[in-house]
Amino acid sequence: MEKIFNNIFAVLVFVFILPVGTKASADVDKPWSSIVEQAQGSQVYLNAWGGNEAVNQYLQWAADEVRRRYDIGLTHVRVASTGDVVSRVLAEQTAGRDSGGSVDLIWINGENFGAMQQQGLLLPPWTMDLPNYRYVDETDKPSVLIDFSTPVKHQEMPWGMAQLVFYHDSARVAQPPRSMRDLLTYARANPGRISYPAPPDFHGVTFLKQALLELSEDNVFLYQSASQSDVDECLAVLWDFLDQLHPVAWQRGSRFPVDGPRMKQMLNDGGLHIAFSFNPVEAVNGVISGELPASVRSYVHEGGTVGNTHFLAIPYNASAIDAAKVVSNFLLSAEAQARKADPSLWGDPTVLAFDKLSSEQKKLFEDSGNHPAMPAPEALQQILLEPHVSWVRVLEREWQRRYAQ
Amino acid sequence: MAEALRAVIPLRTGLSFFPLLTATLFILPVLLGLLGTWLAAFGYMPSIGADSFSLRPWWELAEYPGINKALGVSLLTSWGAMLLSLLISCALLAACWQSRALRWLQRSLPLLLAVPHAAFAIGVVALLAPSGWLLRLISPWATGLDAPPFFSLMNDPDGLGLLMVLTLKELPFVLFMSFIALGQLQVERTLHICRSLGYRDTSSWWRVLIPQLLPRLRLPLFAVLAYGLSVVDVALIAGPNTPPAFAVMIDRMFNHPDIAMRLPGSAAATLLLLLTVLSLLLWIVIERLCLRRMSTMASKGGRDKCDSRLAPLLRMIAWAVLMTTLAAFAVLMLWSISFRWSFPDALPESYSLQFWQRGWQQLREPLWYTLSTGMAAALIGLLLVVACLEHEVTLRRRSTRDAGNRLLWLIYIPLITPQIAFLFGVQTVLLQINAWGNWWSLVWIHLVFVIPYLFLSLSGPYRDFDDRYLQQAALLSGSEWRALWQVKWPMLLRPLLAVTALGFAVSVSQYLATLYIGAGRLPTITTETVAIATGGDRRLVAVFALFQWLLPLIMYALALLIPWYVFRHRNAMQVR
Repeated sequence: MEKIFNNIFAVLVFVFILPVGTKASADVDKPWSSIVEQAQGSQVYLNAWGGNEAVNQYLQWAADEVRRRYDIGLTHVRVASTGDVVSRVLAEQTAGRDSGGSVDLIWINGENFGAMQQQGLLLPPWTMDLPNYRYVDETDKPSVLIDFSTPVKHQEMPWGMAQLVFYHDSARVAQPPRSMRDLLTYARANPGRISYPAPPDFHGVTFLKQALLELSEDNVFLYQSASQSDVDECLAVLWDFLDQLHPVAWQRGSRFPVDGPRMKQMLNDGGLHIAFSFNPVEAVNGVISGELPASVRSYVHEGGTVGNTHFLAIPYNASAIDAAKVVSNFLLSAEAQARKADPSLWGDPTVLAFDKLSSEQKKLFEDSGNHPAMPAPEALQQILLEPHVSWVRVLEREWQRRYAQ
Repeated sequence: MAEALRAVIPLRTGLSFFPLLTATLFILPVLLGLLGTWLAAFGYMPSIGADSFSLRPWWELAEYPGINKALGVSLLTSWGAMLLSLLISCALLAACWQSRALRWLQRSLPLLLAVPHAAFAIGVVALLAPSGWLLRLISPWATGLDAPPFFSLMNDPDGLGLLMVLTLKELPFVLFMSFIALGQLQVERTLHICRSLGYRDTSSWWRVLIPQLLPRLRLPLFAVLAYGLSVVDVALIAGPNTPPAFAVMIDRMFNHPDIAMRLPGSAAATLLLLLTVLSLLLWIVIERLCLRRMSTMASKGGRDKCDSRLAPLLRMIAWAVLMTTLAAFAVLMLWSISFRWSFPDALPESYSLQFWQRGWQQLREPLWYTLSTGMAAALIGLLLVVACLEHEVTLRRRSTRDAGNRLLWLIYIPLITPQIAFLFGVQTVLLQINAWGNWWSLVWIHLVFVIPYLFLSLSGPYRDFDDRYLQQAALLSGSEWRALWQVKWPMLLRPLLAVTALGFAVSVSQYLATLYIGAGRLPTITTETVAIATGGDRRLVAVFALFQWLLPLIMYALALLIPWYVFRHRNAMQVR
């Protein structure tokens, strides 16, 4: 019996210290065809938030397609927050694991991208070499080049567009408020039915940014590093607004929904009258999937709402760099982007420029139909650029200090 | 005879290796992990460029927004859940012993224990939240509500909802452990003697039986306290978020994009460990005080001040525990097959099976990891625990005095150490030896938590086994192996299978360990469920939670059915 156990122990030891045999390839100007060829048979771990059913379904479709077309296995590693993945890559770097890392692709933007770029956790510029990159709309969608005021430098591939869009149940709320001031008036008339997710949740911080952009007379300071401004003075107008909103908000501002999706549930139950999302077709998806009543409608505030781009990045120590590029290129194709934009599937707006597409490619997009819960097309053209990334931390911290004690 | 026996059963010195190995293999990660966390708490974490010792992490922690409230929530929920589940258990035993309610509850305990914490919390929240089923059932006709009310039983800032979920989940555990402990006491005889001295049963319980029970419950109560202080998944689902419970706050610090947050995070994890140790010490003091008070009360000899007026209420609690669990299951079933379900309708407007189909598609891989890891951990754990217990048998044969192994209390350490206080350190070590995200590492870390439960529940039946059966069989067959395989282990089949199922259930319910050690590459049903639990599509969350709920249940069913089938022709092996 002892011997049996010795054997098991030996196996355990063997497995634990078994080295992972991979090496980083240093090829710079490899032609695309050879990248595709070498990517065959690889396994790509795409780390992406797993909380949205439509996204999960879409990635499942993408996995089936790249398996069929390129013989690449694509695994969607569902993560609760992108921060977890950044810390994992960082942990690998600190442990000296410079190749054979556990993450091949990461769904990312903003603060997390800034952190990875600064820590040297990303692959050197690569997106310009993708055949499909030339269709990306760099003129009308400046956020594909500047991610929350951090220059992208081709270290992450634009994947989709996002914009803050509000929605309401027209059976309960006939005329939704179209500005932060009106929202406050509405909350005073309907106490307990307005809220926003608690920062540091991303939707919550976005709400604060939107309020700040709307309420500040001059918002130039928001596009500079927060360290250059007198934070207390700049944010006074925001705290003043929230101090007025909270007493008439849901739970009198003592509690907040956990995140954006939770707001959707609460709107469905009638607990909240207004919810918002960074996905412009969130409401459409909700109606189609039965999560929201058919009477839900979307709208944006007058003067526009905060918008940005979300990206895919490859960590510097990824195990399957070539295959990750092939997968990225596929996800950037008109076919994949059109499918992603279809509100019945996901409804994530494309990063491609229509005028660069062939008529055949355009047709792919036209097939995605219209829906009453869809925001008006002109609403999606009023994008307010994201404030400087340093404001995120300031807003999170100051908000928590004031309202989460 | 003794010599013949000696010939067949040699002194099994080889087995002495097992307690040492078991203790080392499973304590080592805890100690290493703790060490790594402590160093970081004092500013030493060279991997992120912090290489000088300082108290700064502690200052940063002290200034972290919401920390006092978070600590308050954690202390309230852990102590509250422990004291409530203990009090209710004792009161139930004292007032309702032999009642139908308690017997029903006792019979369903294994089923209640098998429910993973996360699935249970999701079900209870779906039942009791402001828009939960309970209110839907009585609205609008009884409440006049057409939108969810403003008050909330769940996710409240003070953690009362979390306290309720934890109490409902821990009560069956404490009760179960009480029944095990009562097996060592002579309950009926004690009650009989007390009756003849003129005491009612309820007061005999409080004067004589519960004082004997309390010290025997010390370890389970430690586990309940430590679990309450360090739980992350249940706190995410049913707890507050502004600020969250302390353990959730630590988890956030460890995963903050700003890596410098790991230092105050480590300080926080160390503080949590300190709080846990202090809590356990405090409980020992409280237990002593209670015992002293009870013995004074008993020796005064007064009769019947504690009558059983509370009995009806307690019986209701017993039923309520059962009913809540059943209703939580039912509401998850409803959500999982609903398509549109608006508030305040009592039932969905339209139904669909598409979420089961989708859930199945998405869960195939996680289910495989859950099954393989759980079975491997349960079986390896069983092997080690049986070997340790056989070693005890050998020791006992050699000398008559009690041969409990002194080393083995060590394996309970993982039960009472907050997971978050050492997992981060373990993760760093595994990374350095390239074993992070490796299936074997995951099995190993699960074993750390599976083994104590296996030992806790198998040692009783195993020690109670009459060694003469084995000696007789060994003499007749001439081989100890055959005696073990053909007599001892078949006779112990029922507890052996039951603890294997338990080990599997413990493995299934691991959230933090799987998340930190699996590196995201080894998703299990639990990590997937918690990932979508807070805001995901409720219908899909329900499907995920039901899968998580059913897996251990199936194992327990097998553990019941296999002996029933195997022993169907053996009268003496039937359950009485």
